[in-house]
Amino acid sequence: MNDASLPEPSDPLYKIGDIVRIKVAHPPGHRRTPDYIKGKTGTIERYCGAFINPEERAYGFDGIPKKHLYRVRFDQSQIWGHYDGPEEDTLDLEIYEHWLEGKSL
Amino acid sequence: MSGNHDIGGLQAGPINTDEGDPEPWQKMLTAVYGALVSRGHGNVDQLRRHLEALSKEQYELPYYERWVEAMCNLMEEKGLLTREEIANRMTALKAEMENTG
Repeated sequence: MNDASLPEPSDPLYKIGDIVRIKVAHPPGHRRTPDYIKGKTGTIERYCGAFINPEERAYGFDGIPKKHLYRVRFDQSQIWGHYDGPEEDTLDLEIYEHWLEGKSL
Repeated sequence: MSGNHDIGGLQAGPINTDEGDPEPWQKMLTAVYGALVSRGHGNVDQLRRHLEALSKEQYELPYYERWVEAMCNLMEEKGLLTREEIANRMTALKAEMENTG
């Protein structure tokens, strides 16, 4: 869905290794962030590129400007209340920038 | 939870991974979806929106039947077909099949 003729968004806000928190919000509509990860803290694992915003495209809009997408890595033990697997287990989720907020350490 | 579809992390029970090959109508449905998209009558995000907007009862339908409901709603939204036209066509096809069967 990447068309080189479309305008690029502004520079990505986050870089690999940044710690981010997923916004806690439940706006109506087609949303690309699952509920279970909201409010959780993870680390930017990679920058995936800028993509037409599916949350707008779902309603017939063009989804421009494109949105930055990141792969965010979370510790499984931090996501679930009772995680029985190995402590080092992680989960990667691809999250759009507008669902992220920087976490002050 | 943000909708009937947003079930990540909930208890799911055992998963049946032996569902067999898709039936001909299921393959046809996939082709119809592809034809709609290629002609500019929708996209995957719009279909997902309609899937997520289904009632709880409809959302519990098997996978491809859920697609049918969402695609009917998408076609109605686009002004391509109404539910009534689809139902009439199904009745006519059924009668045709019974006559030739």
